[in-house]
Amino acid sequence: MSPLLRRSHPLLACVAAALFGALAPAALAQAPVRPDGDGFVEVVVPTAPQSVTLRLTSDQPANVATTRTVALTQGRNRLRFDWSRERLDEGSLRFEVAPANATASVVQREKIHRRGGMVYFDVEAASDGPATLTTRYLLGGIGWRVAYTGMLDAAGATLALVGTVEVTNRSGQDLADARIVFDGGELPALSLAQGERREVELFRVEGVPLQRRYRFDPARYGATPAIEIEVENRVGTPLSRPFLPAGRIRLLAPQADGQPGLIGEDVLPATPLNAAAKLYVGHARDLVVERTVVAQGNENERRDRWNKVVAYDQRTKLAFKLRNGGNTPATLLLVERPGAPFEVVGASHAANKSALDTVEVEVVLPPGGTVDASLEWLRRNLW
Amino acid sequence: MLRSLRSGGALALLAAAAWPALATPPAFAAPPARALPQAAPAVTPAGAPSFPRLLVYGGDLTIVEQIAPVVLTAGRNTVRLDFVRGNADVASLEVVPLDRPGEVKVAALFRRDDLGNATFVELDAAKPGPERLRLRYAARGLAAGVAYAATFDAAKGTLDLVQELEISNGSGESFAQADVRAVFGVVRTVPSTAVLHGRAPDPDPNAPAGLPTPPLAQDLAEHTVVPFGSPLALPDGVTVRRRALERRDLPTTLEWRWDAGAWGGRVWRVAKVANGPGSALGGVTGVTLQPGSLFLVEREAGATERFVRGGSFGPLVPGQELELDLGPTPELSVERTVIDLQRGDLVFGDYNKALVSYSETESVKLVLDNRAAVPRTLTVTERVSTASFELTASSAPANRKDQVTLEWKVELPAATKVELTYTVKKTNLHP
Repeated sequence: MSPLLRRSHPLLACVAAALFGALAPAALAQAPVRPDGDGFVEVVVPTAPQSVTLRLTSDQPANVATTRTVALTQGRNRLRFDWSRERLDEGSLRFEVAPANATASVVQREKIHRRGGMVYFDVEAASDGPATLTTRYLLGGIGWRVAYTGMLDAAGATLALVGTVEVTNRSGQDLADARIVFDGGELPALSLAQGERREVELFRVEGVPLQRRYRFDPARYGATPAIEIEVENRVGTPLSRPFLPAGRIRLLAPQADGQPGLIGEDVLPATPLNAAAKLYVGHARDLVVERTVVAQGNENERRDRWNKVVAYDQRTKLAFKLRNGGNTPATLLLVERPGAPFEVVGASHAANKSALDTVEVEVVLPPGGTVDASLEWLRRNLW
Repeated sequence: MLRSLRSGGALALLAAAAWPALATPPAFAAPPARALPQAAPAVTPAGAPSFPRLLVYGGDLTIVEQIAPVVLTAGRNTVRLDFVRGNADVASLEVVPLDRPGEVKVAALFRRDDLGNATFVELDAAKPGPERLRLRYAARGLAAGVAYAATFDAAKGTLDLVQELEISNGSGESFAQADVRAVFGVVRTVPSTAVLHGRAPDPDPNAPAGLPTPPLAQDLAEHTVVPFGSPLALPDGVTVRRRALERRDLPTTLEWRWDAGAWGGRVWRVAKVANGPGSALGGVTGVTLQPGSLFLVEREAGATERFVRGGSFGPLVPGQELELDLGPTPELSVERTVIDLQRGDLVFGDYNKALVSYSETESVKLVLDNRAAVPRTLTVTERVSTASFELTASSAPANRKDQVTLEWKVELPAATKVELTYTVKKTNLHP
């Protein structure tokens, strides 16, 4: 900077200095193409790439692709990259060079250990000219998570669903207008400096149909009926997303005063297109189940020479008293797990053996009504 | 390691001159450089390589081969070799005269404790003249490895495969130019101290007969040599990587598989590439691929690349199909339920009436869901907990792959769920 300018216009000098400081790294990065004693020219590759794409997956580091334009000279060029700040997996580095109007090949890549994070690529160029460099590598420290918020309508029949994604950058690299691609979504241009995190809305859909069920499963949900909500991600419905990544979902419903109230949270499992997700959001207040073991005893005992029981059958009978305190009919699924092996020998309602150790009984409860149900099973050949 | 024999100055090759034959080893009263006459100017005969050759093996073993030109006088000559840097194993040094094998003979290799790694080569020459000596010795600190980058293009159904060879020099010695080859395979080596008469430790009375060599994975293993290409500069503390093989757009066959014990119970894809003679990968004879690390990505529709997995790759021999797991796919899913289990056939002992054996009948239902818009063939693998079983019912033909494994190949129409049920009776079980 000229001393005259510094003396006469101190403010202008400061601005000029700041501007120079900002532009200098990019300018200097490209400029020095200096002959080297080893017979190649060294090109210091600009630190900031022209475009960055990050492909995020749920359980792997981010796969990064960056492009830069550099000026190559005819012959051997040594391109120097400085990745000393980034949490970069050097074993994953891949490199492509595409000159604008000539050919070039990557001869070799070199790592000089005493120079830390510097990586060198030797490129043989057929002629002088600009070239596009694409580097791909795995980058640690990029975190992302998806969260959903669902608002039930007054009737509890449909859901307004909002999906958001939060990206955290602890990679050591500042991201400027980076394209972020992940399973089920994309952010076209995200700027995120090291140490920053940003939450962005992904989608917002209204009128997603849902199914509400009640399950009485003492082994899984305890002594009161649980609420199970099923949401379908299906073609032809409002929610027709290619993929819904797993994430926390918060369900809200309008309260008596019209204001939304939290009815529960769960983790929405990873749900591809044409699949359904089941959510457990809490327990029903208006449904009451009284479960009684009416009888349980052993029979058909087989004994050894010393009169010790070596095999037996076991019979169990349960009785249920079910009450619906609400003003709408409810379908309650009673789930019992007798253990394997077992067979159902009697039931007041249709019983379905859903797994080797599980039986389910579906009971329809009228509004304000009470229903008695019973279930009996036999486990043969126990010891 | 051995210092340059042609560099002059502080030569490693300190002398190549007549040295009176001694009945006893020479007593070095003075430093060898002064005690021995200066070597005659070295001449490199035509055709001699100007750079060393490095054969890099696994297990931290490198064989270094160098040509040392010397000028000999008639009679006994002594050549001093100094291994001043690096991790050379001087005990493994082998010196072979190249030009006049009938006239020049290596009489002895001589070392002294107080001179470190210095080795004196005593040569008997029938006539004076120039001679090339081939020096071969083992060194440590160099390592070679193979890395593969595979890119599966989902839209085109092809695979790009790139093999890169990497060499790392941590030996302490820099090579200005070196011809580097990597050797893959298990090679038996015996340490030079395996038998050292007079100083060997007392043998273990319970030890097996033979030399006390370290345990080996394989005694006679075929190995392959992969050249690194044109000679390269390999300074100390540097890792160099070069592309050794590149195949683009290899035709790929896809398979879909499910096994409850693999990939977390999700359906995964397998890409298969032929490696026979005439194939895109194998070329004329098929290609041999050394074991190495793998970096596998999938090229997606939006030109992005998704990292699938790392892991290991190979080895692959000509004629052997290349098979790569491409990771789980959300297009297909399998829901497995054991729907019934019953015990029967209880057998009690005649004498004490104790339970001796029983049988179990287990029924399993698998719901195979194809969400893709095209039909798929899914290979389902199920493992039974005992080898004594029989398949009593199955909704699709099953193949018993081994004692405990059943396999089905099920055709799944587009966007359809298919139920696969089967029942096995496990017999002769014991409580």
